[in-house]
Amino acid sequence: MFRSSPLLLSLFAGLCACGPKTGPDVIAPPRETREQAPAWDQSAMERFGLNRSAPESSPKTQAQPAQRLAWDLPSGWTERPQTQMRLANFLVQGNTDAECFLTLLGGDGGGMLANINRWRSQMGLSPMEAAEVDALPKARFMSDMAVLIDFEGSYSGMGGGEGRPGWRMLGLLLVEPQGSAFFKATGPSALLATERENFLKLAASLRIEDAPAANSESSAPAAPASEAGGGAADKGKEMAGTIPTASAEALQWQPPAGWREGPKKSMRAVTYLVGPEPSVECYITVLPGESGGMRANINRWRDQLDASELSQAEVDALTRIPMLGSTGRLLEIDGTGASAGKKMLAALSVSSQRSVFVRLTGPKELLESEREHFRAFAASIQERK
Amino acid sequence: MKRIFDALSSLWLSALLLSLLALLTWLGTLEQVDHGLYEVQKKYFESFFLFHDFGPISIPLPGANLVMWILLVNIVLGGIVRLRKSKATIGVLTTHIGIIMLLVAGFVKNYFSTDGHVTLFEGESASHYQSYYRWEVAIAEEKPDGTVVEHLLHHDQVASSAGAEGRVFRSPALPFELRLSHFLKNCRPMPKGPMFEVKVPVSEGLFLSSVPLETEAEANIAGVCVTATGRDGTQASGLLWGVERAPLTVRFEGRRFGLTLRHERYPMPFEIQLLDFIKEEHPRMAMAKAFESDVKVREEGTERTVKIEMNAPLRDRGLVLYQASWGPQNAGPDTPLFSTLSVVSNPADQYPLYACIVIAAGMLLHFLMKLAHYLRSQQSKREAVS
Amino acid sequence: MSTLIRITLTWILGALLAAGAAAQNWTPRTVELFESLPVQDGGRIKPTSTLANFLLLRLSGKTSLKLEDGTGLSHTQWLLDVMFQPEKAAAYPVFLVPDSDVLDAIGVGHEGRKKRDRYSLNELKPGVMKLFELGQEYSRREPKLRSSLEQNVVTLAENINEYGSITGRMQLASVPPDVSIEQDEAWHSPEELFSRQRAGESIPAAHAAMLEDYLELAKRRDKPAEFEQQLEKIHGATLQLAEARGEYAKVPLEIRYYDLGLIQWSLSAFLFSFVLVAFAWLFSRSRALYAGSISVAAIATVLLSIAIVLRCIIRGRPPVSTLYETVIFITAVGCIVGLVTEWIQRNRLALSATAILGVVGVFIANGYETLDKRDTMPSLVAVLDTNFWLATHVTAITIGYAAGLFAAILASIFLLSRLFQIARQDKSYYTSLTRMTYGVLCFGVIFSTVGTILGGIWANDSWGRFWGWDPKENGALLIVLSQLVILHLRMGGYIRDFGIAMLAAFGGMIVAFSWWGVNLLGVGLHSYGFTSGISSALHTYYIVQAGIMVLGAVGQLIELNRQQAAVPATVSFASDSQRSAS
Repeated sequence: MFRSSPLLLSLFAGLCACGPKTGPDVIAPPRETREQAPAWDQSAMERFGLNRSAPESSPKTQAQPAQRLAWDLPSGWTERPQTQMRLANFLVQGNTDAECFLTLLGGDGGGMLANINRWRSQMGLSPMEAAEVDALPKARFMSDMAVLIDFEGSYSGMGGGEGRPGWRMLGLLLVEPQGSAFFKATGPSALLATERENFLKLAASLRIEDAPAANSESSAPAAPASEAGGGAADKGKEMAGTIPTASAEALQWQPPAGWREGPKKSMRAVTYLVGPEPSVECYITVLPGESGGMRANINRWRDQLDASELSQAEVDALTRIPMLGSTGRLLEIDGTGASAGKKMLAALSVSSQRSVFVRLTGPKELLESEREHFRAFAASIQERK
Repeated sequence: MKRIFDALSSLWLSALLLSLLALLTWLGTLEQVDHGLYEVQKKYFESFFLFHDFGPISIPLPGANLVMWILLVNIVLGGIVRLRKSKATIGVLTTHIGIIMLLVAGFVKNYFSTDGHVTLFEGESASHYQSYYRWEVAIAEEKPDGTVVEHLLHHDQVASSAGAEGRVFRSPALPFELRLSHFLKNCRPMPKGPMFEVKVPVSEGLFLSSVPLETEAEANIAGVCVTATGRDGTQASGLLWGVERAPLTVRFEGRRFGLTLRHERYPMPFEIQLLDFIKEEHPRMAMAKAFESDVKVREEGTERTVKIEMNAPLRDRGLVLYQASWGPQNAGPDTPLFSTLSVVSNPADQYPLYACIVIAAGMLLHFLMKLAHYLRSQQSKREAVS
Repeated sequence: MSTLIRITLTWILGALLAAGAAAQNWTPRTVELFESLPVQDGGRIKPTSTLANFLLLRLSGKTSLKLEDGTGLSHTQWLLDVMFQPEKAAAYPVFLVPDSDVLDAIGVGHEGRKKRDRYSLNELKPGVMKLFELGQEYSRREPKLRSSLEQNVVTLAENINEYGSITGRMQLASVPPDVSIEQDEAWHSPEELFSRQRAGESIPAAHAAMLEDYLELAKRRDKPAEFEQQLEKIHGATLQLAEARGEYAKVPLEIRYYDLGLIQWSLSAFLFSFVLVAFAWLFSRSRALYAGSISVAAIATVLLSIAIVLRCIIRGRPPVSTLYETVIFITAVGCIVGLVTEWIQRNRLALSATAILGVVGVFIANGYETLDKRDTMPSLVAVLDTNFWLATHVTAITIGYAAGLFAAILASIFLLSRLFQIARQDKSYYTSLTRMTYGVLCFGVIFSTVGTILGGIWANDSWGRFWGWDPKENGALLIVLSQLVILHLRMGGYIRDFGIAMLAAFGGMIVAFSWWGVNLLGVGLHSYGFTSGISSALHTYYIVQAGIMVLGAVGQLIELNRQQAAVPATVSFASDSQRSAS
């Protein structure tokens, strides 16, 4: 049976010689279409949807996130398209060597010291000690106070290699365990020195805003959903991913004037935006049962603001306010150390049935002005009758 | 000659081919975990030849396409021609005929069918459907009377324009020649910053950056660089990207052309308008129970309303339209939904059904005959013993 | 034998415990009423007892609860406590924590407890907030990438959250709308009605009355006799509304199905038949033992089949629509094939295979149910919700699986017999095994082939492509191809009994890959059988089956050697020259 193999093999080889099709070099004759005339003379940015200010006309176009980053652009600075790492991207005075961008990370990104020293090594400078970092000045950045750096040196960029002398790096770093923000500008030393004020103004103006809610997803439903219509599989994933609160349907409350209702977030019965900055939120959490008890939770929050723990006696001595038909506790926590300048107002009502926590965190001055509002809000939480 | 015939019609060849097909099927299944169905399908099942990597070693294998062609020859020569034709082999013969029908259906589908989808929001209509994976470059020109005329470069021409050289295309009807180059299967436009160099053309401060292929091949967005050279030597160049919203405009000899890269489009002999998309969920659950599209079909002056739902497609004029899916994902209660109808033009659409009936009949016949024979022999054995 | 005794004793004990527990709080009639109270959950109407059953299974890994003082609660009694005596229920050790590392992560002490133990809500309360925070964080990661600790945290958080949404509340959707199904499909919970009423919406009079009744029920929670009275009233009113919509018809049947526990009975019967078959081999002349073992195996198969039929009636669907149902169906079909083969051959071989398949199959079914922890009669996604294709394609493929597996068992018996040199003198033992294997394969290949093609036709009607090289489709094709290869090689005389046995045994691995393996790959349109934890069982089977093949080969070599050595010297010259000529 193997004697006919050579012939079979050559048949096999012959068939394999059929290569892939490539088509002719001549373009086929044209055909008429029922299409509309195209939109002529658009720039590449517009064509690829990279221009943020492109007008949204049909519901099929790129979705705007319900919240987006906003800022006040200094004169002479231009915006560049977002990239994966750079959520806001700018060119300083049109100089292609001078760029400035914002990076957000979920986590502390290695910590303040590590990041500062990484930047220093990009500038060909020797690392700093922790004490020197503590002594660095602070400036406003995304409605918070961040560490400000101003380094002069020889810039070798993120890829290393030959450095470019006479460079300056301006930067602001906000590092927290839950998330970090970095705002960095690099460019010729003299240019950045003149633009330093603009840099700081831009950094202070960075904020999160509600965008007009657009309704649907991108125009290219590129990945048709799986056979379950996409809905089931993704809904399933969504529901598995969120752990919704014990229902707060049985409660009602009265928000103070000037507080706007914020976006729905998992684990929270409701969120209110207090004051002008959307990062200052007051929210209610409802959990079944005692959920750890008052002291444990209070000390956890105090720890978040780097404040010392309270003893049981101190917890018992906290101000009482009427809440949910009985009495709850009210407390203020002042941040120290890395959280200096921050404040938290909190109210707790803990029973064997459920625990209700109300929290407002933000800059000290703002919270002090909202103190009465907060009290009234906490006291207004009641069972639905 | 006889030896060739013997080999091609032999049972050992059948067993070998079936085993090879099984091996390819198994390898192709495992490969899908990392590489996505579309690529694996092209490499293992639609090809004639491939190399499979068992770790560091690369082994050559015949592709499933080749195996099935040879199997067709084998089953005709061995399973029909050479097979002893008697009452005992009717069942086997029938089964083999059924399998031949199935193989033929497969080849017809492979070489003569096109498929794609048409995605519409409620109220929208379309008279073409588009491919999930194949791309074309369209050169559009608006005539003075307002109609739009298009020259098309289809997928094979576009996809073979890879690398810096690319390919040059010409037409007597166009005042320029078009060079396509640097075709990428999956890419995104990126700004060219000062900190790095790129080896690809940069246009308007952007370049097309290649990204890894998606596992779901429909999510790949292709891109290509174009340079149009007029008869007077003037040039215009730019980038074309698969999901661009508008074409690249070029002008030659007073005429204006729009160049765009998009999914291949196939005209339908009728126009479809989505009247209503209905999605029903199981009560108190987020699981889809049923979804259907009510569409209006307009052809040559007549129109009718048709319901297309899961497991109940629309068959008309050689095309079949199925309710494939919908979106967007994570839609809220008030978000307008779009319905995706998948469209297939397949001359062999019903062949598998006929083949199935023939195969089932053949196998059943053969098995029952054998069983009856065996039972009878058991019975006579028992009678002989007692 | 000991397994059987253990199972029987557990039942007796369980019954005693249940009887004792009735003295707890709720009258027996209360429990009965609550069990049969219809509720809408998972998209269908089911008795509350089914919901309680799977809820308790999900939280604690068992379908009944044993308290620290030794008393036992049935799942319905537990649910009654959870809803109406939440403080009491909070002390029940119901949350299964598979690894005490989870407790360390959330700061809950566990001195003196086993690594894998059950805890009450009270014990877990101090760590709940931390648990929820960690759960939120870990749940953002893809399930495949989570470590076992992370997955345990997420599961525990989800369980406590689910518990929290039920305890002390009336969240179950037990109020049918008072209009027909076409007008309104969704049932309501008393809490929903309560909120709507409070919000000022108007609700139908029938619902307002029901709501009042439920509120009154909650008030009477400490008075068992009055609670029963009120529940009687609610039960009657609910039944009226449900029957008007035609939604109550199958509920009593479902309760009956679970009460009968047919599947557990069939397991005991299969075990018993296995024992009898073993004895029938030892005392091969005893007709009584032979008759007995066949009867018991048949009874077991009948019980299993009745269970399947009941499920079909309850759900109004063909027998196979979920992965769980494939297990019991394959077991039943395989056993029927085995019993029929035994009737034809009558040499105890097929019977042994039947007993083995029965025991293993029902064990796997129970194991899967516990692993999956969800209602085994769920609602189906849109594309599967078609009785025609479920009845034809899925049933055919499943029968094909059953035949392939049964053939593998027969082949394994062949190979192991070779290894242990059983029935060395008796050629008919091996020839009949081969014949049976071959016969079962022929039977199987019809269903595998037709089933696979039907699958393609269904896919063509749904998605526009007959064959997509999807993993599940490929798995089915592999089975068809392997069975065809065996048939063609045998036809050509290239393999005989040993070859058939080896290839059929390998075929078993192919069936297992197609049945379970492809779901584990997590790719393709068919990965809707969520099967975490199956992986190790599957790989164990692969190893065992491969081992049997290897050992069988060893046995065959020994046998061949023995046969060669036995050939007398005078004949050897002639046969030598014959061999070299061919």
